[in-house]
Amino acid sequence: MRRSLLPLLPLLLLLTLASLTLGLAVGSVPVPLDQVWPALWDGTSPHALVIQELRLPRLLAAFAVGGLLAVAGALLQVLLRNPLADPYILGLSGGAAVAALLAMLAGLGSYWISGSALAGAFGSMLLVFGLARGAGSWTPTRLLLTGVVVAAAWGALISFLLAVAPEHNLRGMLFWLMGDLSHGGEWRAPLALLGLGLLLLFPFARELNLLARGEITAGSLGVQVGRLRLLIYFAASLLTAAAVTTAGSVGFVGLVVPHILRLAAGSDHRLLLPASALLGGSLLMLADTLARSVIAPQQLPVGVLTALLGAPVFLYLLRREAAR
Amino acid sequence: MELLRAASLDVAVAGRRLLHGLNIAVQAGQCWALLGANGSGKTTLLHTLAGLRPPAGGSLWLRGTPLARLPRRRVAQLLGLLPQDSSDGFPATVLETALIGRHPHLGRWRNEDAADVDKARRALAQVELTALESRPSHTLSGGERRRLALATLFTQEPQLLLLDEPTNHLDLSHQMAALHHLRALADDGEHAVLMALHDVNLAVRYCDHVLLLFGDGSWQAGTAAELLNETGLSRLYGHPVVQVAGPEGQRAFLPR
Repeated sequence: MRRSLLPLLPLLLLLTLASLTLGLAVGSVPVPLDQVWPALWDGTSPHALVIQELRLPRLLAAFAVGGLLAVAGALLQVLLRNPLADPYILGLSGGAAVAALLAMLAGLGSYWISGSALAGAFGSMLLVFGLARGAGSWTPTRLLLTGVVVAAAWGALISFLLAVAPEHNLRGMLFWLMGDLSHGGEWRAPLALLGLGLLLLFPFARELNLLARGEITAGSLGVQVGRLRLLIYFAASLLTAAAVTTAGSVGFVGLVVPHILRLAAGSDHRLLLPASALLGGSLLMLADTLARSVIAPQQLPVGVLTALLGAPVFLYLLRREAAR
Repeated sequence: MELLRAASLDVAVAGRRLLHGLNIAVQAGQCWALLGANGSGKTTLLHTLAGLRPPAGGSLWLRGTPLARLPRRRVAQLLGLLPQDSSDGFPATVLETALIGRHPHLGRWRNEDAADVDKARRALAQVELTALESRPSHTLSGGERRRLALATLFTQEPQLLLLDEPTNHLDLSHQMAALHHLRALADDGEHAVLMALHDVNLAVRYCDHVLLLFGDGSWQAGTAAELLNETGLSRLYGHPVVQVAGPEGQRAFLPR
């Protein structure tokens, strides 16, 4: 691990706390910055209700979703050995979306929508796994092609559902597709999964570094490549499923956050995985804060803002790297 | 000491049998050249010997234990492979790349310590890459990249070194330096080297044993003195080869 990069994690932790504080302060009832933290502990504060009951759960959910997506993206980029891989590339979000939209069309409540999304994500994960595994060999290219084709099929089904959906359902469906946290109250499960996932993945981080260099190199240095690939596939799928179930398909975080970090800090996954979680979480908290305040009282789906924020930052880093 | 033994080993690719019934024993102190025409199965054999693909038949023993029964990490502590080409994946520096050689020696929860970094630096010095230590590895030239791959193998410190065309992309002086170092490793009596080569004269100069692959399943193994001759090499490459004498009486082979 490069010593000079160790301050990166404390810096990202500061960014996380700053994003959290900002998110707690901003809104239809602005809270002065110096009263934000007291209001978290002190139930008698005039701002306690809005901060503890409304803003904090939503921010924690945003942090968890951003962290889950960024870590899943970093994992899939290694598994597929492809820098363009993001958590949705293998069709997981498509499966979740089709199931969630069907639940909305059936007029089911939000718990049913989340449950359907989770079932759809797992169904899609097993479908792609089975199809790619089929003949026995399991190469990154075969997995990638299978996933992309399955994702395209889900995309067609989504378009079909949108075309036949009654007018009054469309808005909710579109928001879900773009990624939206305004209905998400559930933050405990995704946050716990993010922590657990990082803890379980950390001992494999050095093996990820080797797998990124190809299976021959990894295998000759003692990595059990087949087993590691299975672990990455299921871990990334599980993390993505949790994120999609909580907030719909928030785009761009999973692609761009690991890349920003790879450009800025190299590709040691012992650093990259926790850093991705922090940066992904911060980015999504900031994006969600903007999403509910730029055109207040109306809210934007957060997925719109992740791309608007992430794209220029990424392009800037890419240009700086090329100029070096 | 016997490091590697192949017993009635069959190697096949996509149903095509490249090698049938191979029996060899590689002892510490030996340096083997693996010679054969394109497509004769040199790389596939090296990957099989390294345990990266299952043999089509027969068995492999690493220091007296069946290779298939050893954990991968243990295999990598004893046996190292220099692949024919290595790709970077994601950006990493030269030192970081050499350091991956320590992987099999580190537990899951351990990071590289100063001793590991020392080993990587010594290996980089061996291949004259010290000055490029903090360069991103994708900015290296082809030959520098090859030397970095060698340094990674040296950092791994295996007892048995399998190398797939180690001299690829190397200029004359670095070819000599690399082979000289490999020969010196074998000569210390602890290590053994088995390398696929395309240049017969490097095999003549540095190797004491050769394994010839004819691509139709047949093979010959034995001492270099015995097997490297005009008839054998002409058959191996399907092109007439003549032996000439160098200025100091060394043997050398030229295509006719």
